[in-house]
Amino acid sequence: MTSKGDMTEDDIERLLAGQPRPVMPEAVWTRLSEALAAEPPFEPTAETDSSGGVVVPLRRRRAGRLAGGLVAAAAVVLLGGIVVTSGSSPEPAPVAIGGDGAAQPAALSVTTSGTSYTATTLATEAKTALARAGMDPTAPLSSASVVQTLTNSGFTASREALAGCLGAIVRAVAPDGSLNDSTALLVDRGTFEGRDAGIVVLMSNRAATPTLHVVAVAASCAPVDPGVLRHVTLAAAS
Amino acid sequence: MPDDASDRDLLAAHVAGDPEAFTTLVSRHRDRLWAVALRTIGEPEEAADALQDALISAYRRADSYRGDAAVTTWLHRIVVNACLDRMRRRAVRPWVPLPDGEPDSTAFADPVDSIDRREVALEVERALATLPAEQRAAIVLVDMEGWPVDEVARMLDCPPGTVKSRCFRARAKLAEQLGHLRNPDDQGPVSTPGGTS
Repeated sequence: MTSKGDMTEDDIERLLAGQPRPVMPEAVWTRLSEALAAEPPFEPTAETDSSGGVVVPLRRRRAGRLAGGLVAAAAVVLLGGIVVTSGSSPEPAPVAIGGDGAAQPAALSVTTSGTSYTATTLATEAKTALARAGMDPTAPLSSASVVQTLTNSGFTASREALAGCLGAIVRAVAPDGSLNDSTALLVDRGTFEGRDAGIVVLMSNRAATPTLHVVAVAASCAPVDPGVLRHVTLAAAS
Repeated sequence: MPDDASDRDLLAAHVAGDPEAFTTLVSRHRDRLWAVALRTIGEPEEAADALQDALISAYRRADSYRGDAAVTTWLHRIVVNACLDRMRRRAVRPWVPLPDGEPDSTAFADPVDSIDRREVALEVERALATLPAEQRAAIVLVDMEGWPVDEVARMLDCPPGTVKSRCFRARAKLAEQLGHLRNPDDQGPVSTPGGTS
């Protein structure tokens, strides 16, 4: 007979499976059903492309720098003049990238390829991901379409989370501010060395030739900790 | 919509403009969704907030459902990730809810047994509250809600191996904390509600 304290994995499974399921209180259901009833009628907001991603029209605005004092994760217009819309909202919803002062990186393509990135393949796979997303870093940004698939976890679960993460990445990889006016070209969710991660491709606008910064970050990337796993740079034309 | 409309039909009706379809869909699964939210986030008011955020998001993004998974998987994914996001952002400290089920005919047949079951439930909830959010979500979905690992992997947007790993680590931690629940006098291994197993 097993002695007290020897709890096996099977014991835990049975214990947990045997717990009574809590029933939703009526007050909670009333609250939820009233909240849903208060929603406006559903309106289709986006169409899907052949890969299943949500294709969002890109509106071009004049580029400009924002004044200082931006707060990470605030919903503010940005992105080098490009407005990124979310498929879930009826009106274009700009994405804010954190940071202080100047114009901030812009996430144009958010994908969930599930690619297994490694330290060795990071640069190559990032270029493949850019190509797959239809992003040519050497082409004018206005010619690019945006494919945005917000995920339900990690830093790509919301525009605010994405903005906060990108700002934190910029501050972490370039504390001297040299990436403050960079452009984010791609955010791809997959794995890096086997762990849940995101791959962010930033294009520096300050170098004489376009320079790409490929940064692997943990899925938990957040303003307080971007969780940078790997950072490589390469010329955009390479 | 007829009462026997499928979940997919209800979601399609909602996308087509049926004003009642989404609420009907949610009503079907409200207890399971509530259980996941409450067990993951651990605090009733936060769970209600997270669930409301999730359902409104699902309502608005209904056309993002691609049909490659069950509608319930899609809903659970949105709910559990809303809970995880809320926990990460607000560093929610879960507290331990008392079991909230409907009383059944045996609930008061043996007051001592009823108290034991509630105490076990409290112990389980306290132990769950000590788990990292991702482990807690995984083990709630797999062990408490009975979802297959592959479905949970879709919900958590991670590989099935990661789900298994999180569950394994969670069970190990829970085993350390709940070892005192093992009843040496029983034929079975643990004291569970409704008798031994």
